Amino acid sequence: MSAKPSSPAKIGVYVCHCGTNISGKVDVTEAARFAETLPGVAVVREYKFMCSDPGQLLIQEDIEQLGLQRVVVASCSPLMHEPTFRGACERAHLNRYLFQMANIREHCSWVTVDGGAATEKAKVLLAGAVARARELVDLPTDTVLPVGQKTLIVGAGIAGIQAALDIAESGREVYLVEKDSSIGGHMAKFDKTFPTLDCAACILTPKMVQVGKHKNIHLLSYAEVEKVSGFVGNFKVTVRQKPRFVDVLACTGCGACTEVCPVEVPYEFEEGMAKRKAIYRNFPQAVPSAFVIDHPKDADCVLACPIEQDVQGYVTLIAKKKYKEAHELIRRTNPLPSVCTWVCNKACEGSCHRRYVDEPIAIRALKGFAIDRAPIETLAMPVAEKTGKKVLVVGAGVAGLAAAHDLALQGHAVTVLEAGAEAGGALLAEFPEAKLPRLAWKRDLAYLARLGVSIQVNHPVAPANLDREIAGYDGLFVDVAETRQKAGEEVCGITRGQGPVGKLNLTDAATASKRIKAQKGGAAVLQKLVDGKRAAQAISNFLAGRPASAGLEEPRSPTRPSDEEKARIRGEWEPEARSEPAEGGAYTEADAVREASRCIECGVCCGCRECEKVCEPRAIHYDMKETRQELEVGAILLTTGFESFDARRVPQYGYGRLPNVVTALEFERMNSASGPTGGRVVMASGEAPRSVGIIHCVGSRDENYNRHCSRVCCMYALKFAHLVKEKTSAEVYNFYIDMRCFGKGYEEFYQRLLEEDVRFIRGRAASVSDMALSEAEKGKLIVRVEDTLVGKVRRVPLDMVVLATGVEAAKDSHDVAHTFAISRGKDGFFLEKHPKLAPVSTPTDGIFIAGACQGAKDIPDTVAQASGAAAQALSLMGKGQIQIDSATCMVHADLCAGCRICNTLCPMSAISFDVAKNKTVINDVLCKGCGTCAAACPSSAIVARHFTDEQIYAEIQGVLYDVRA
Amino acid sequence: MKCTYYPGCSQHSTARGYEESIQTVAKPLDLELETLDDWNCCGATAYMSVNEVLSFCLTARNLSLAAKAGHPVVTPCNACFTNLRKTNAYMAEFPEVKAKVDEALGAGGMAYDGKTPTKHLLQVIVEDVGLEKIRGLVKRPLAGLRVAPYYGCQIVRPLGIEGGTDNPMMLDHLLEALGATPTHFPMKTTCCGGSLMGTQEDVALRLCRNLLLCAEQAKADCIAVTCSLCQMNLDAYQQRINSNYGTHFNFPIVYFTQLMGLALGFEERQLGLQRGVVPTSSLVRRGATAGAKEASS
Repeated sequence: MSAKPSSPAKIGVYVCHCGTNISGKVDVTEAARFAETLPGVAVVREYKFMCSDPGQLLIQEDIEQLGLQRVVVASCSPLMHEPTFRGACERAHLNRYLFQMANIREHCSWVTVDGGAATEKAKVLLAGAVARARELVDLPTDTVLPVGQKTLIVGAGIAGIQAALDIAESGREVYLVEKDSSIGGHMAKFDKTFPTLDCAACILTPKMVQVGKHKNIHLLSYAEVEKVSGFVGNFKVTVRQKPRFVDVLACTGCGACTEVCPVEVPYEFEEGMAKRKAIYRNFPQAVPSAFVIDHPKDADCVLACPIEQDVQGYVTLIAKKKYKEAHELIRRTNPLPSVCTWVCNKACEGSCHRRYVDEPIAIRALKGFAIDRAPIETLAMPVAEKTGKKVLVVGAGVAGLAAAHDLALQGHAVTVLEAGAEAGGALLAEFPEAKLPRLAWKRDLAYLARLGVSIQVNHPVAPANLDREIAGYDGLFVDVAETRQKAGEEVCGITRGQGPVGKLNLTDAATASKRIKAQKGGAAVLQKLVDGKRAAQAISNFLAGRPASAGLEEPRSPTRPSDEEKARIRGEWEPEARSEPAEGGAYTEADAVREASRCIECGVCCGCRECEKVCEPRAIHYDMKETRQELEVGAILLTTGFESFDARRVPQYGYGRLPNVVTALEFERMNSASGPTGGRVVMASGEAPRSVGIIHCVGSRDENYNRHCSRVCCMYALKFAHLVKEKTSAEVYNFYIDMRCFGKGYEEFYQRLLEEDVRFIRGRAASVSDMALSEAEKGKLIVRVEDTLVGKVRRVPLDMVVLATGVEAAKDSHDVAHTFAISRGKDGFFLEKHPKLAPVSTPTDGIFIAGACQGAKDIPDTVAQASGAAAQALSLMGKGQIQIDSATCMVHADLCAGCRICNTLCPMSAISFDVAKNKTVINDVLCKGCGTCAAACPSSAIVARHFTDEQIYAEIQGVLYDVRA
Repeated sequence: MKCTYYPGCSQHSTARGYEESIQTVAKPLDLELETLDDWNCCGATAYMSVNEVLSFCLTARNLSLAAKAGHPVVTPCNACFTNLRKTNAYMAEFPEVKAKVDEALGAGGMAYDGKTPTKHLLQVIVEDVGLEKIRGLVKRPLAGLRVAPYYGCQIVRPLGIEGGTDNPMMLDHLLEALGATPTHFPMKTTCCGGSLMGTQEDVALRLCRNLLLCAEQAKADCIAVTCSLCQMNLDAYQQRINSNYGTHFNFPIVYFTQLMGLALGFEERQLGLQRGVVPTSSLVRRGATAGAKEASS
């Protein structure tokens, strides 16, 4: 900022006639003569159209020739022409912030009835403007920021795909984030598109493939944007990559995994009309073509187990009669499963979701069955690369053996030294034969032997001799209380060679494990198992040079389903009696399989690992975790699409209650050649319908649901009518209110349908019912509708009814809008900057929207908007830098007391606090100069540039020029 | 449970059976129904169609009288129920209506604050007395009796009981609690024609015929109703429908409280069952013998 001139500034005043808009009401000449009397005014001019080229030239010439230092134009609203006149000043080398406008049109001539009063008001406004102009100071106009050249596009439907290709072709990098496991959005579900009847997949997949292969597009599928910060040209975005459990690059899409997966759940892509496996992909041409596993190791039975056994996995394998595989799966995590089947307190059964239908699965008994059925000798031993490390375990108690088991699985050579005559002395002392058959115990020991664990009994280790005993070993686990204490309070020490290299406190390793209060009984056994396993992980980490906490996360707890979830489970499954083994005996095979088949697979992927065994490229990785990455981008495009209206909200149409009432998306899948019926239009019975009705405006144009028109339904309803005519010999009825065929070729398509003998009934369908009132109606769906053109209420019996469900904003649009700091309209769709002139940008600079997330629209308009948004983003990035407005707020650091009152007030999140300096800091770029902070500051430390106190007071004083005290 | 009971005009004329059964079952249910003193006709659907605001005034007078006792107002009739609900709602939403009602009441030295809660007898029995208690009181479960649960239209719309306008289940659940089998009845909330039976008989007859046809398809033994006008239309005009349409309907049309009474062990005459035009004796016999079978097994 430069200092004010030592002599009062020379002000030029220009009063515009604006044709007759102003001069028709205000006496412009009188106002101009008044302006001449104001202090500091060097020249006053009137002109018919100040905004015209000659008008602007007037200002420029006066600045150059008269040396004007301030310019006031009394004309229209600054929203109209402030930039125009600022431009004129700048061309004459006068700083744009030395220009002041007085609005004597929208605020004066247009709103005042009496001419005299209008002229007086014009004078007042002029006086204020001139007084303020005197106080204006010049501000920087060269603050620029670089614009990042990368773009983030959120949502990979046709809009996202198109925009990504447009931007990538310019040579710039694009991050395309899609929350589903493959791209394509809703369009990938369609069969044919109107009005050309192009096959949707045929026109979409080439673009999808291009996206997948483009060197400038980084496709982040199965990922979501978590956090956004920064500002236009300089956004920082955190993207959360959900674990796919399949390596995207390694997976060849061969599908061998789906052949062996035992779990089936409803297929979301097929709108629930077919089933998919837990490992799946959306459709054969999916991009990426890799499969995805629907979250393994998430069932409540697994989470309830202290050692997170793959419970759902082995139960499912038993149901499929794969007893050997079940036993092998059990032994992957459980060091002493035979013991567990006798002593465990069955937390898994307590969390089993089946209990919401009838009884929980008899998991413990089933486990015993699998162990009995598949002898130890027949099991395939897990192969682990030998590490060459040797670990000594002192004490063959439960914890010691558990540690030994897990260490052996990791490839270490383990020796266990036991003081007593046999292993497990304390365990066997507590549990007599009746409670824990020795046969079971011996079985587990036999497995440990097969693993290569060497157990030496009658070999006590005195605490004093510990250092001698561990010579030659790389790691040590002490499972004997006294020795532990001697070695230093619950220490599991790890030493190498002469002295301790690292010591791990057993309590640390076991700290986060579930602390079961009881010290006796089955619970204590489980606790020791957990402790032993965690110690083994800690030791392995040390030996492998991994971070100490690897694999030792906080144990998870079972989630408890919501009431809706419980009701859904209850409604989905028929109660069935629980089968248990005969008292004291064992399961028959038939009973065990039946019991295991009661599992409702609530965790979806059961973790049986059968897919892993058949995956040749070894692309399956069960231990994938979610990851996050930070991206820096210059522009963001939101192309998150829409959701379909839920037809269950209109109970009169019977969706979900009556068979053969389907939604639009379900009908699309039905017609698709790759869909559940292979493209045939059929009823639930499998027969072709003889009559089909299509009800328009379901959930749209309706005060009860959505007021808006969904724009695409009339056209797709016509498309459906055509498809039915093409594939069946059914009669087709369309129940419509208006036929909205506004686009190119749309009306012609409608005419074609009229010629195809489709019956159109103008009337909104009132209800769909199965109540037959005559023979002809028996077994049919009756649509009751007022035929408004005829003036009668009609009952139309039909075999099938298709509901043209409308387009709605996605349910998570509130959260998405919040993440990106943009607004939504009343209907939930993202809000554009201007509905007519700026449909793809938002008031938030740098963030653009395109496609159905901005409002219901068809594919041609979506693609057009996508390219439009891409162009705007390219225009932003093409500038390379952006200019920052200087009418922002500024903190005078020496006046700032660090009270932080202003910190929470900023609507643009532009204010932060420098803790070290104890001063508030304002981000010039984010600040829009609203002045809230300036007003709140008790020390007047914040200045709102171009709206300083002095400037505002001066304007007020100017306006009150003729008020006597 | 104490309520202010607003019977409505039919209870002492065409719906005498309804009234008798209500008074009979109220005792075991511990339902204290204090009849509103000096109640007046609400105008039902007929007057509401002629002069809406005056209809509100009529109902508001009843609500104003009831406000003194402070209990919710309970009515057994669907039309009275709708009028009670509409009056409260319109007075709350439209100041013009409230002003007119206040003026009318004021002329009689009365006032109404619009806050008296209103319920249908079915609601009070199912929600406030509760199905658990009713199940415990059942002496003669109506085992094997297939009942079409007919709610009628005004109990569910425009300001009706819980459960939505399309497929409410309150009466279904009550019938289950009595041991009966509520049938699938798609027209459970379709209008019977109401007062149209008096003014446009052919329309109402056709609507009733459709309802009876629906009950026939559902293989119901009888139809349970919650409204005196529905009962009369379906019962008293069944013969006329048969002769007009060549049908052979023979459905006893009973009030839900009459079925309750049977299940609770009361006799035909205590429940006014002899008053039906279509004989209910088969029903009574079935209920009695079914219950006896249950009791002896």
